[in-house]
Amino acid sequence: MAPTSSRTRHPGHVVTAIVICRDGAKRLPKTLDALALQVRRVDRVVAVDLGSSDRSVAVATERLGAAHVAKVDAGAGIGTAIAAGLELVSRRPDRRRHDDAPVEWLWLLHDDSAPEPDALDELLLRVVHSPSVWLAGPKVLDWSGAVLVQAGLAIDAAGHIETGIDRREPDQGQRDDVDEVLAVGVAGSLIRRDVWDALGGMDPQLADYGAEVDLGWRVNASGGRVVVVSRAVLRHAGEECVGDRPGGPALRAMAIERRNGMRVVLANTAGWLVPLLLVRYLLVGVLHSLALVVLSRRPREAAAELRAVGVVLATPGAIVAARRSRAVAREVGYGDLRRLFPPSGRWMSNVMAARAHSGTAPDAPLARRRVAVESGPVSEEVESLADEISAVGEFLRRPAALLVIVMGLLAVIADRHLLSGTVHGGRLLPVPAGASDLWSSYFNAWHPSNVGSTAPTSPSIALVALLATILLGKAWLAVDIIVLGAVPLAALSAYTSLRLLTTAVRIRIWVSVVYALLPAVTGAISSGRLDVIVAAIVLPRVVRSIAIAWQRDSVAPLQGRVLRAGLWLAVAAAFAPLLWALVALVCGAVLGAERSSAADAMPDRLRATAGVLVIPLIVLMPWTWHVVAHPSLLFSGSGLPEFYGSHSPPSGILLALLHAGGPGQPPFWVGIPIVGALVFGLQRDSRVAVARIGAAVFVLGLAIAIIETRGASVTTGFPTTRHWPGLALLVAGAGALVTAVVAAVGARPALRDRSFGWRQPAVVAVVGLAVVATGTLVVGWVSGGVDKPLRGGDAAVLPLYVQAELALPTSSRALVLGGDAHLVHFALVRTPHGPLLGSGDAAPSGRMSDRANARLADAVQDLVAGRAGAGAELVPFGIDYLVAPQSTARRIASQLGRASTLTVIPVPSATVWHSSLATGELTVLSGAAATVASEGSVPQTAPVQVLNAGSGSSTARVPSATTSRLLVLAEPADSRWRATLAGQSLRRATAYGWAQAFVLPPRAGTVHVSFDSSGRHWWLIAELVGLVGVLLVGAGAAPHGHRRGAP
Amino acid sequence: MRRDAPILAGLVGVAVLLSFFTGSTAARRVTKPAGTAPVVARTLVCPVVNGLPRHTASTATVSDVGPALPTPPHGAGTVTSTVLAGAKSVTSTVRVRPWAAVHSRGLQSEAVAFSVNGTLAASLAADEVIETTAGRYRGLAGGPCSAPATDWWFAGGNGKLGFTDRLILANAASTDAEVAVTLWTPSGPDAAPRLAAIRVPARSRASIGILAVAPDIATVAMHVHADSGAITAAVVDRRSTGLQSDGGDLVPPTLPPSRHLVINGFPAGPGTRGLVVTNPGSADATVSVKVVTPSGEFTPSSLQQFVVGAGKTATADVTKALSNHAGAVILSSDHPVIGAGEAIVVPGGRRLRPDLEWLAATKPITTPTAAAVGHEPDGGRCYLVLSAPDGAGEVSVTTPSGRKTTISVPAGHAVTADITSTVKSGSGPWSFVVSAVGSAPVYAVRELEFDGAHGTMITAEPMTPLPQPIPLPAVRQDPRLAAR
Repeated sequence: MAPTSSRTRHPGHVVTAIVICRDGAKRLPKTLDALALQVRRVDRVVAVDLGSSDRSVAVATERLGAAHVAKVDAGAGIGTAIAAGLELVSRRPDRRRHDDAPVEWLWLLHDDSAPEPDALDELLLRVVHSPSVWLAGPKVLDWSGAVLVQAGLAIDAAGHIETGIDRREPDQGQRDDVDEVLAVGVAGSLIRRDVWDALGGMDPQLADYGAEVDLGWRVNASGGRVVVVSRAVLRHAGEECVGDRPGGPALRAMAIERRNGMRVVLANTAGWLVPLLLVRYLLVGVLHSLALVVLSRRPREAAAELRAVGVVLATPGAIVAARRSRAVAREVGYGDLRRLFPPSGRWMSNVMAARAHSGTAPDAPLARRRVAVESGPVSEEVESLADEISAVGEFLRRPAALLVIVMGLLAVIADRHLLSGTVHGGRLLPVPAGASDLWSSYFNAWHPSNVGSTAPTSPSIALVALLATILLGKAWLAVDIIVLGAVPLAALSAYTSLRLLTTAVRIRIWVSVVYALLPAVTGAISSGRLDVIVAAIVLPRVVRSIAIAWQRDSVAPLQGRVLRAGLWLAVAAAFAPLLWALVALVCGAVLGAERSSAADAMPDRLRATAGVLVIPLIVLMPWTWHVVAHPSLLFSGSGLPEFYGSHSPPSGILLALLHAGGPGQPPFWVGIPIVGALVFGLQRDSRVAVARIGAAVFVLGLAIAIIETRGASVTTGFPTTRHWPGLALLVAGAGALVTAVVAAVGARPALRDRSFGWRQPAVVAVVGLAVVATGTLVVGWVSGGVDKPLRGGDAAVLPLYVQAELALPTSSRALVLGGDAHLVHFALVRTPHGPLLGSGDAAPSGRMSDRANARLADAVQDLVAGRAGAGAELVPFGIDYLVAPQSTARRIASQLGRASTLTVIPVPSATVWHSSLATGELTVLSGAAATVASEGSVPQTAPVQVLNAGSGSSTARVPSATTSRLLVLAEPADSRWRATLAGQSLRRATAYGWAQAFVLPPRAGTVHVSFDSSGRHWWLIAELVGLVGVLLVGAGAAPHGHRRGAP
Repeated sequence: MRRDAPILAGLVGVAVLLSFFTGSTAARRVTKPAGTAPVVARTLVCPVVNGLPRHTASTATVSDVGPALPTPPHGAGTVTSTVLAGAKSVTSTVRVRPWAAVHSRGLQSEAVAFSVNGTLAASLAADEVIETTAGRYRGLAGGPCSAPATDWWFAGGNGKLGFTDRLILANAASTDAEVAVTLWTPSGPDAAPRLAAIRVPARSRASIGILAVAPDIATVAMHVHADSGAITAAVVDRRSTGLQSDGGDLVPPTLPPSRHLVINGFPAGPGTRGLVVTNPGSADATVSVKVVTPSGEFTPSSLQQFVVGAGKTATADVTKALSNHAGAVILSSDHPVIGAGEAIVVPGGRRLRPDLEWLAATKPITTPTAAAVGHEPDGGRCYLVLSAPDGAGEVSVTTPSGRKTTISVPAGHAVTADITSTVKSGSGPWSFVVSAVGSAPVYAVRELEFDGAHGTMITAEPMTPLPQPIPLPAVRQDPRLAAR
């Protein structure tokens, strides 16, 4: 027995327990015993019987006395029963003193609900200390006390009531942190008598289902709070007794559930939502019914669903009356109670759960999450299957998953023209056959690009190769995923990263969608700009990881956070080195601005920033040094040379509206609401620092975009080309959207707190424009599809015949011509399929490469001018074929025809000339020809011996000779070329003034030519060592676990 | 309200404002700009160095006319001559000091190619003269030796009986050439299958009888197009009536289809003067005629306009219009046409045989032109027929030996100048250079005339421009061409 003193605790509060009985004679005695054993005595106990057919009335009368037992009809609902109970105790408690007026509480219990001895005490303890709590409920366990049944109730927009508890979830205290809820179950709920009276108790229209949720909602809307007191425990056998309770036919019960659930929502939700919900209920009801009929073959359930929807739609008067009656007491708007409702995506799983649970009595405690209908003993597999399905359903209910699925489906539609064949076009070169080709081009120091290049390959190729390796070597799939999946991936990246700023799902979704469809992103996709695409995907992770690295109160070690941030930045910088510079600038500016306000955190932040910035420099060597030595790479981007051009620089206004120019751009005005939200974000009083950082990033990105677009002729030979400002505008857009988030979070209460002025209409205008702009972005992207020049399908420009010739062992090449007789374009093609990703965009650099390019230009000029002997000038470059489209061929054919060594080969859709002079990758010049070549000239008539050669290395047999010979490689001279004859190194020489050559002795033997890539390999080893070192330093930290919250 | 938003607006405003005042407009820059290159290599092919038929002697003469140029170049180089005989071609070095000649060998019909390397290439001229002194094919023919090209137009040729016209295709290159020939006749295009794809082997010559491809068709126009390689083409026109010769000449290549043609060089004297006009297009062409004579330019009342049907060849008689005067005919058409002139010089005596000369539409002299040969093999006289339809013109005639004469041509007039005394130079070929002095266009034709025992022998040749520095197009490397 509890101490006498505790039984009289909280003297100012009078508790009247009302026990509702219905055929509960089995457990009613235990319930009454539990009441008697309460640590804090119940002041008054009454029982109300709902037409029981067993000994429930007798037991209650025996224990409480006939004066304390009321009877109502079996069909009456709980509300009626409670009212009847209150009739028995209609006399108010005595008021001893005016200022000591006791607070009367009603404690509602079922006949099978046994509170723990301290349940009432705990409930009262809570409500006494929290006067705003008008309704409190206990933690409900099953009768055994081991399984958690209920800890608060919520309802989704579709009208499904949910507890948030898994089926047969054991109570291990995991729900003890649940506090404020929308509603609590009837059993064990403690409600203020005056509140009950003021609200009119439970709605009789909802007597058979949903009344407690409606009551809780009304309490919240009236200004009170509804809480779950987890220390107050009640055991309830209600679920186990489902089968014993007469609840009518299961289908009728289901229809009642659906009807009442919808009524609860319609009666209490925001007024402007009602028509939308009605339409939704109709559409979903019809679709659900169809699914029940077609997929599940449950026509009667479908009929029940339709009946429920029909009843709701057919009785608008009831809804109106319910809303009118609730409006009197409503003090708090629907928007302010949003946090008490389940996330929007839950409704589908609730539908599925409701279907599985059809047959439940309408007023039984509800556990809608993952309820299986058991028809008898079932195997473990069935039980675990339910868990697995529930895990999948759990995953699919997550907004991030839905976002990716929806955006992914839209991306499939938008990319519909590109799904056949590998994507290429714009600056994106076609992808090689497999991951091994990408790895090869990354590891090699020499590339068969143009006249031959020794420029280092960007580490971005290694990352693409890594992804391709993971995808079982399918390089095309890796590029397709990056390019075609850029929008959903960017949206997912932004959504998950925004969790650091806000948990408001709708805001995060809106920002993520807008971010993924920024003009910079869609323009990058259409232009084949792999660097900007990857930057768009990775940038949110970079920002998030740096913010986490700067957190002061994170439980994760600093090294681990810095490592993650550094690696994310390294991934971004591998594709877009400019991003590293922008991040460094922003970090420097933020640290400088906060040096006084966050002085105590500054040492850690400085260390973190230094680590984040240094890690990419280490892991990206030797590319890092190459960028330092060629700073133009910061702006030039990756892939084929820049083609974005205009005669005059783009206007600053368009750039300020994030309009990057080029293909794949939405209307310029879609940037107006983003910039508008940026301005409003700066007006907020909360998260001022975040807003300012976002605005600063916007200004920085805009400044970079303006600066880099001022210069023209960024691509040699193309006077109108300019740097595309997409990357800078991507950063600017990200900054603007961060500030927009600050503007959006808590905007409504903030506006409500201010007096009506210019802000409210301006915000409405911006929001409206934002909705229209977002719709325009999505619809435009999906309907228009990915714009050219990105395309799918075959990328080869050479006719099949020429491709076959280039595949021969002599490795000859083709020259592609374009333009007209006044301005001729040309490109050297070395492989049958043309330049490929990784090797094709390594621009030649160096004195000999420049000289080779100049000589090639001379040769083209002489050819098109019809100069005599021009045909021989193709021999040093190994050019065997000239290819020109018909339009070009018509203009230059007469001049090319003068070259006596060229023969026309008719092929469809192009004109091909074949050179009659023998040439190839590796040739042998003898006698006078060797002498002429050594002097820097091209021998006109002497034949050359062509050897079989590969790309980068060759092995061939040479006969003996009596005259001097020169082994000539059709590559620019470089000290790393090696040649041996029978194992003996050959002396290096230069042919034609630029080509690599070796002096060949007169003897016969096998000659081996190769390019020494050891220097590159040592650098890569150093890079690997650096990466391992960085990982080891960072891996010394524990696995990450960071707190949520804004930095 | 905090100051953040105004500061932001200010910063953005400044950036936007600055953007309007900064930035470079696109400047033209290409990988390699256009330019010119000197001519340091050249091949001139004389396609008709015939020893056939009997009583025929041909000479291909190459001459360095550099000293006659306004700015004499320091010509140096090597010249070789190759008799194009396929695998049996023979190349020999030719010493041009300042001229050299290759003669026909017996009863051979050959083509000779002169190849020159060095700066000499810019000042070398080559002509061929074919003289048949007796027999059925008596006549004097001549023309310039031309560089290989991919397209040749001829508005002259005859497949009728009594005409032994031949189309000669000479390929001086080391690779075979693929040639297609298109014919137009008075009744329309003639698609002869054997002319659709003619393979001319390397260093060889092909000869096609017009009678074989256009039998019994008078007035055949031809377009020779090399699909692969480049060739030198010529048409030999020889006529006879029974066993009596009616003269012969090489039909010079004419200009490609154009709406305005000037056919200069009609000689003075009695005889028939005619036009051959071909419309290769798909719409009928209405051709207007003007005549330029020593007495002025006028539209002949007898031949103001005539229509040439689409794809057809038409002839017109301008004898009356020219009235035995030397001069030029100007054709203006609403659709592009090609044209040539035919002049049959009829001697005074009954026993004397006529000769003919063919004239082509040419461009006016704008750069120095040269003729390697200024006299018929047996002597004779050398005339220049000049026309200046668009304004008074003036030309200078200079010889490598330094002699010079200036000839003025009144506006709208034609002038025949006897330059024999100017160009005569001992035993040489009498090479000379004609240069325009004024700015008005002047058309010039060199005429060789010899009064033989059987009548006047005459041939005309348009003055051939010496090669100018080669215009080099701008080129730029575009790696995007390598990827679709």
